[in-house]
Amino acid sequence: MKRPLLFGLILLAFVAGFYKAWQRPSPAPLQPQAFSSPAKGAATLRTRFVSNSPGPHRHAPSLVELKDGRLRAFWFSGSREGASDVEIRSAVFDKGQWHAETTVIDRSRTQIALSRYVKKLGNPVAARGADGNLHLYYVTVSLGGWAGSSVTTMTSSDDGETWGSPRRLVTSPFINISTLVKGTPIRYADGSIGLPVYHEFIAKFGELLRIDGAGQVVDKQRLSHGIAALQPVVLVRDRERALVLMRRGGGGANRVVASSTEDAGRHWAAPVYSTLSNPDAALSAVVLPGGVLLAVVNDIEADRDALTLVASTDGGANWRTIYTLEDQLAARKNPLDGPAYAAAVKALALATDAGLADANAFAASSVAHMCHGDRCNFEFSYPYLILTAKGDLKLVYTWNRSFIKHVEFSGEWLAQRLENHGPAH
Amino acid sequence: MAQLIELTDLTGLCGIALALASLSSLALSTLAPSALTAARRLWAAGAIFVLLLLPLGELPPAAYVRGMTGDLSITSLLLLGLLLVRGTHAWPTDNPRRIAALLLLLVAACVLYPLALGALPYDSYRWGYAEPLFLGLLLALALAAALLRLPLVALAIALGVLAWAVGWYESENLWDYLLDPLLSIYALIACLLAILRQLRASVSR
Repeated sequence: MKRPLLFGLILLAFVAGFYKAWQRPSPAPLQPQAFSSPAKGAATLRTRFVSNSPGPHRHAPSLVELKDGRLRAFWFSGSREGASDVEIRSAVFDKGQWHAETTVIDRSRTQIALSRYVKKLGNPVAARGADGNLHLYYVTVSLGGWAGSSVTTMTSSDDGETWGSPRRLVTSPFINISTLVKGTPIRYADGSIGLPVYHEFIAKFGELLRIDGAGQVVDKQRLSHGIAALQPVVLVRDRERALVLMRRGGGGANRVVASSTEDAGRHWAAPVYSTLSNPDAALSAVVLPGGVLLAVVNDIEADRDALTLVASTDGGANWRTIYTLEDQLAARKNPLDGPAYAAAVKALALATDAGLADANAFAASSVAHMCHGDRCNFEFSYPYLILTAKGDLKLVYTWNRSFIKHVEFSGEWLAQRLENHGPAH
Repeated sequence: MAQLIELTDLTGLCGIALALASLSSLALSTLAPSALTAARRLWAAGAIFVLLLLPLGELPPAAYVRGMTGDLSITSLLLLGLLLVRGTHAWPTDNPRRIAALLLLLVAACVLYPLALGALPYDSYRWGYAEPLFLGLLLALALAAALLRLPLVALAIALGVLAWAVGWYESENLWDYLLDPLLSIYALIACLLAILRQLRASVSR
């Protein structure tokens, strides 16, 4: 190739390149969640199931508040985790009840839209963009197991009734594998979205992706190194400070892994084990308007048969249990066989929603998914907790891999609970 | 309703199809060198390219490969394109410049992959998100390569940066345009073979 031509091409390329670099967004402060002044209401706690149709394996729910105050939940559903028939499903909570679940996207439509082979789908997480649109991020795998995951995204301008075409996010140089979502997205002050993700190919660590208004990844930051950690949950305390809580990634202590930033995420402290137990399971957390941290965790060292609401008033150094959501630890001493398990599950289902039309179907579904041979297990896992603009807490979690359970606590209920279970003075 | 394919999916698929067409024609040339003239080789590659982009079920064959490999770097496409056009007659020889270029690729791969996959707390993949110092380094490398008569290195860097700047692929990260794992594996094997040949040559003297 002639030299003048080559130099000309280099010049053209780098003028274009530096122009692109000049346009990239500069580091921005974090955006704490905004709240309206909540009206003082009754102290209420309600539980329901998101869908009542038995059969599929359901897991990894997430939740988002819609513009008119309704809720929309997402989860993945299929014959089993990782099956090719797994779809992302959604339902809306309106006027005190959950409406029929619908399919948001499936494997076939995903791979056609992405123009590449997709083997299976996984965790869905939704975020509200600065432009008011809903962005759904979900895990897709083309090669291997969950360690081979990538993140795919879709946008809705009508709060999830209809969606645009799926697009792939490229977040890793090694065949773009091993990026997954679970934690609630955050916002930066410039309107960009901070999507907590995690990597689990060879090393296990958390990362935070920065996604601009056009849906492009413009930066990413490593959240942890040295302690295997997954599924980060970022708690924005103010414009500069945030805490990240992570599921332990295998090896090491059975504790939640924690790190923090004092400069809006430009640097993160070396991760440490917190005082919260963790049995290698997902957790969820929010920051209350006064700065109290609230988390939903399997606060045990093994399995997922207990789920607890805990609070910290000292920035995450110490945590107290303020409510037990689920507790089937007694069944460990006397394991339940099929029929006994079915009876127990039926009772739990009716305790959740006394108006259930067919609690037997709930039991049968749980038996199908949670019994192996003579041994049946309880699983209450993958919590997803949000704080609405009015200060109410909404929680969804996987219930025996069969249903998605929904719990809502009013702000007043929470205030009383924190008062009664607060730290000793 | 039929949906128009995204431009970045088209470029990604075409890149895979080009790579496979080039490798297939190379394989054919190696197996039947006398039967395949340069013109026939190009026609064969063209036919393979088209076939790879025709739908087979829900997706064209290139899309299945794309699911496994992701989009290939511009550097890979440049090398495979040259291989297609020049054929095996221009099969790389063991000159020091070629080895220098391969070593540069290997160094880049060593800087990128272990750090991106979590070997250290620092993530070099971040430089690819429009880090000006990284661009400056690449400009220096491209100019040095052009001056030191390594035109392919300079061309690969320039085309990679240009493709990234115009959003040729869906990736927003410059590294994905410069390097990919398959290219890195090729560079490693080619380097090792070149070193082995040098050793054998010096032993036999």
